[in-house]
Amino acid sequence: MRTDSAKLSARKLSIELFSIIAAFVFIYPLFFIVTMTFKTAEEAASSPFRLPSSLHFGNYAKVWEMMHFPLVFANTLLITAVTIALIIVIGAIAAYPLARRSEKPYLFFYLFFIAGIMLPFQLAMIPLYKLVNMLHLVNTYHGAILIYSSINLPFTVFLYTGFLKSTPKELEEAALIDGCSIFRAFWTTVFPLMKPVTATVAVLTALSVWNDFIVPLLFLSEQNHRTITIELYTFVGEYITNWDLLFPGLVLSIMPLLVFYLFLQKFMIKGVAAGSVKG
Amino acid sequence: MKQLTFRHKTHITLACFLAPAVLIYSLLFLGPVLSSFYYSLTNWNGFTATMGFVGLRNYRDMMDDAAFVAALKNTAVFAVWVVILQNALAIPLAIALDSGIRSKNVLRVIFFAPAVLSPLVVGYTWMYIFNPNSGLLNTFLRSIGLPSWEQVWLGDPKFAMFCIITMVIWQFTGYSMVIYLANLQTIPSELYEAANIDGAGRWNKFLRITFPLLAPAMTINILLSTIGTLKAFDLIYVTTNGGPFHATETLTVLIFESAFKDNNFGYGTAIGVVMFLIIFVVSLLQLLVLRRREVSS
Amino acid sequence: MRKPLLIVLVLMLCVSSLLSACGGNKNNNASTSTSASPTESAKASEASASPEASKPAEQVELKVSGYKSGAEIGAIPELNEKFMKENPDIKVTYEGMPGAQYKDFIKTRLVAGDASDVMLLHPGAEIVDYAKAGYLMDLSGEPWVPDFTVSAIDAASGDGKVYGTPNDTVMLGVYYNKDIFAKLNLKVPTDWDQFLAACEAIKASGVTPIAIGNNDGWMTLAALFVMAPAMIYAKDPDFDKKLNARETKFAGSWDEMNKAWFSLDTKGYLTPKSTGISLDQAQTDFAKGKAAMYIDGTWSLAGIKGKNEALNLGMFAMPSNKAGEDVYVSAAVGTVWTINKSTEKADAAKKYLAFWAKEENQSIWAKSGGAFLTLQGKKSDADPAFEDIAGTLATGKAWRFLNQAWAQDAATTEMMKSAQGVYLKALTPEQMLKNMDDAWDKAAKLQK
Repeated sequence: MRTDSAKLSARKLSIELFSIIAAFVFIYPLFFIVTMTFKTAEEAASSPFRLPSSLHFGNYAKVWEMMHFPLVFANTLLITAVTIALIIVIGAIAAYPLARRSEKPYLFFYLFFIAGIMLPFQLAMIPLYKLVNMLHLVNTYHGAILIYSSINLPFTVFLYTGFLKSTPKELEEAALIDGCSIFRAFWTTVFPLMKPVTATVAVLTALSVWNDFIVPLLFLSEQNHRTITIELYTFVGEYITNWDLLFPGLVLSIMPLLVFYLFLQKFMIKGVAAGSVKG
Repeated sequence: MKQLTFRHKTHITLACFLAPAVLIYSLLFLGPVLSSFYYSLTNWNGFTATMGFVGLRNYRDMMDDAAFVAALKNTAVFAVWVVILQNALAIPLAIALDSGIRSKNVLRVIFFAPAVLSPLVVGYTWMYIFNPNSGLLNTFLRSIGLPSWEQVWLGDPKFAMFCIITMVIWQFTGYSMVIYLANLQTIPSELYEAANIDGAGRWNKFLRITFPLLAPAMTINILLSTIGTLKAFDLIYVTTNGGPFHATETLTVLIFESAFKDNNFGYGTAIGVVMFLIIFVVSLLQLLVLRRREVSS
Repeated sequence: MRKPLLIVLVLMLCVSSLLSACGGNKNNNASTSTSASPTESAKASEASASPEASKPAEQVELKVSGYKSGAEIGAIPELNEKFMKENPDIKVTYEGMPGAQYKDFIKTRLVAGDASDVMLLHPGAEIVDYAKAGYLMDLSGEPWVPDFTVSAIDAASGDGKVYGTPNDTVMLGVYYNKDIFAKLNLKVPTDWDQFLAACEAIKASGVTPIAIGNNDGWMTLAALFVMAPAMIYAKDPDFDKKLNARETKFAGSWDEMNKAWFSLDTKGYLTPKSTGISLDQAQTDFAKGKAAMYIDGTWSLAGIKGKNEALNLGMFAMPSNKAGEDVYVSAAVGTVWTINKSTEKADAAKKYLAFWAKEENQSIWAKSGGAFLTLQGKKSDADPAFEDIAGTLATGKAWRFLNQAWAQDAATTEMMKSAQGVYLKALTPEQMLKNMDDAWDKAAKLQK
C-alpha cells in the first residue's frame, strides 16, 4: 500500500514537473519580448537574449508620449467596453428565439448569422466605407462600436444559441404560466443562466476589438479618435521601422489586456470554457 | 382561438428579439460583404469610377491560376496541421493539469496567456526566435551540439509554413486546453472507478472513457481552429507576407494582394467568394460529423 | 468574483431599461432599441460639426494625409506649424500612416469620395492612375511649376499635366564602411569589374561584402533597382514605354542584369540565408561592421547611425556599368503633394502646396529626410556621407526607381516573390523574369 502511494505521488510529481517545464517554454517568448524593451537599442541589437544590464525606462517614456497613450488607451477602452455591452444585449436576445424555435424562419436566421463567421472582413471594406461615410459615422466612436458589434455578432449569436439549446425550458415556461411576458421570462430566468456564455462573449469581443487594426485605420484615423493599435504604426514608416520604440509600444498595447487578464483570469478562463462546453 | 392569437403574438415578440441584431449585422457587415460579391462579376481595378461586367470570367480564370491552386493547398496544409497538432497538444496538457497537481491554477493562467496577444505581437516576437543567425532557436541548437539542425526557418519554403503553424499553436493551445479542462471536469468519476474495478489500464481508460466524452470540447475546438486558420491574415502578413517564394501564401493573402496590390479588385473578390463557400462547406461538414459523434458517445 | 458580478449587474440594468421601455407595447421594442444609436450619432455628428461652424467663418480646416509617419515623418509637423503661423485662417490636420497601410486607406477614401484635401502620393504610376480616374486636380498653371527641375516636374505629371509638387529627390545606392575599405586599400568602384574585385577582397578578409535582408520584399527590389539605371535605362530610355505596350518583356531584356546580380549570391558576396534575414538585421550587420556594404535608400542614414554612432560610412551609386561606361544613379522623387479634385477648399490647398514649393521650406524638408532638392539650380546641404553619390547625381546620369512607370503593380509583387525563389535556388534568374511577365499579363487580362 505504501509503495503504491509513493509510486502515485512520484507519478504526480513527474507530471507536475513536466507541466512546469512546458509552461516555461510557453511563457518564455513573452518574457523575452518584455525584457527586450528594457534594453537600449545598442544592447537589443548586440545581445537580444541576455537579460538587460540595467532597466532602461527611457523607451517607455518616449513611447508613452509619442503614442498619446492616455488618450488612445481611453478611446480603446471606451470602444471595447461599449461594444461588449451592446453585443451582449442584442446578441443574447437574438439568440433566444433561434434556440427555442425550430420553425423554418428561425433556422434561416440562424444560418444567416452563422454565415457571418465565415466571411472575410477584407471584402466588406470598400462598400462598408462608402456606407459609413454616407451615414456620417466616420471618425465617431459609435460608428466604430456599431461596426465592431456587427463583425462580432455572428459568433456571439452562435455561442448564445448553442448554450441556450442545452438549457431546460421548464423554468421560463413556469414563469410564462405565472403570467410573465416573454421578455420578462427571458430576462428573469434565462439571462442569468447564461452568465458563463456572457463571460465568453465578453472575453472574445474584448480580444478582437482591442487587437484590431483595420477598423481604426479606415474609420478612426482622426487624431482624437485613434486607438492603441493604430498609434503603434507611428513607429513604422514606409521603409524604416523603429524597433527600439515599436517593441515597448507593443508591450504597452498588450499590458492593459494582460493586467485585465491576470486580475480576472479565473472568471475569464471559466467563461471561455463554460461558454463552449455546456457543463 | 385563444391559442392562435397567443402563438401569433409570440412570433411578433420573438421577431422583436431578433430585430436589433439582424438590423446592425445586415446593415454593417453582411450587406457590404454581399454587395462586394457583385464586384466578383466585374473587372473593377479598385479605384476607377467605371467597371465592366464580365460575368463568371473571374471564376473561370481562377481554375487555371497556379497561384490560386497553390494558395488553396497552403491554406489546407495550414488548417489541417493546426487543427491536429493543437488538439493533440491540448488534450494531454488538460489531462496533466487535471490530475490533481498543485500548480494547476498557475499553469492554467500561463498556458492561456498567449491567447490574449495580438497577431502583431506574436509575429514580431517569433521573428526574433526564428532569426537564422542570432535567433533563439538556432542559438539553442548550436549550444546543445546540434548545429546541423540549424535552419533558415521563416526564410526556407520547406519550413516557413511550419513556423507559422508553430506560432498559431503557441498562441491558442492554452485556449483549447482550457476548454478541454472544463470538459474533463464534467466526466463523472464513477466511470473511472468502475473501470478500475474492471482492471482497465490507464491508456485503456483514456480510450474508452476520456476521449469519447471529450467530444463536446473537441467539436468547439476543431471548429474554432478551422475557422481561425482559414481566416488568418495578420500573422502571415507581418511575418512572411506570403513568402518566401509563395510558401505561405494562403487564400486571405492572395485576396489582399489581388484586390489591393495588383489592382484586380474583381478577381480578389471572386477568390473571397470561393473561400467563403469553402469555409461554409467545411465547417458544416465538421459540425455534422462531430455532433453525431457527440450524440453517439 | 465580485467585479464580474457587478459587470453582469450593469448589463442586466441595461437590458431591463430596454425592456421597460417596451413594457406596454412589445412591438415597439425593435424600433426603440435600434433607433437609439442613429439618433445618438446624428447628435454627435452635429456636435462635431458645430465647432467649425461656431468659430469665425474664415477658419478653414485643411485635411492633409500622407505615407510619412514614424521615423520618416521628418519636418512635416514643423512645416505645418510654420504654415499655420503664416496663414492663421487655415488649420492643417495631418494624418500620417505607414506606406503599405496608406495605400489601402487612400484608395478606399478616394473611392468613397471622402479623401483629404491634400494627399501625399508616389510619383509615377500612382499619380498617373489616380489622375486618369479623375481624382486629382490639374495644377499645370501653378506659379511654382517652373521652379522645379524638368525631370522632377515630369515625375509629378501624367499625360502632360502637372498634379503636384515634387518635394525631394531620394537616391538608392550602396552604403559602404569607409574604415573597412581603407583597411583593404579599396577605392570606390566605378565599374562592375572593380565592384566584383572589391567584393572578393572583402570576402577574403573574412567580412561579409554586402548585407541584405530578403525576408523583406523591399530588399529584394532595392538590389535590382540600383542595377537597372546603367544596365537597362542608360541603353534604352524608352524601356518602360515599350514594356507598358508589351512590345518588350522582362525575359530577353533583363537577363544580363539578373544574372549579374544573382552571381553575387552564388559567389558568396551576400549575407547567407538572406531570405530569413529581416531588413533591420541586415542594417545592424552593416552598422556593426560585420558587413562592408548595404544597399538601401538615402532615408536609411539616420537609422544606421542610430545603431552605431561612430560608423564611418559613405554611399556610392552601384557601378553596374562596364568599364569605360558611365555610372548611373537610381534617384527618384520621394514625395508629391497632390490636391483632391473634389475638394471644397481648393484655395487653401493651393496655398499649402505653394508654401511647400518655397525654397526655404523645401530645404527644411529635404534636410529632415536625408533627401536632395528638386529646385532648379539649387544645391542641397546634404550629409557628408552622401558626397560620392551626390557627385554622380550632379552629372545628371540618373534614372527613376525602375517600377515607377510600370502599368502593372502585379509585376512588382511577383518580382519580390520570385527573387526570393532565386535566392533559395528554387528558380533560375530566367524563370524569375518569365514569372514577372506572366504576372503582368495575368493582371492586365483581368482588367480588360
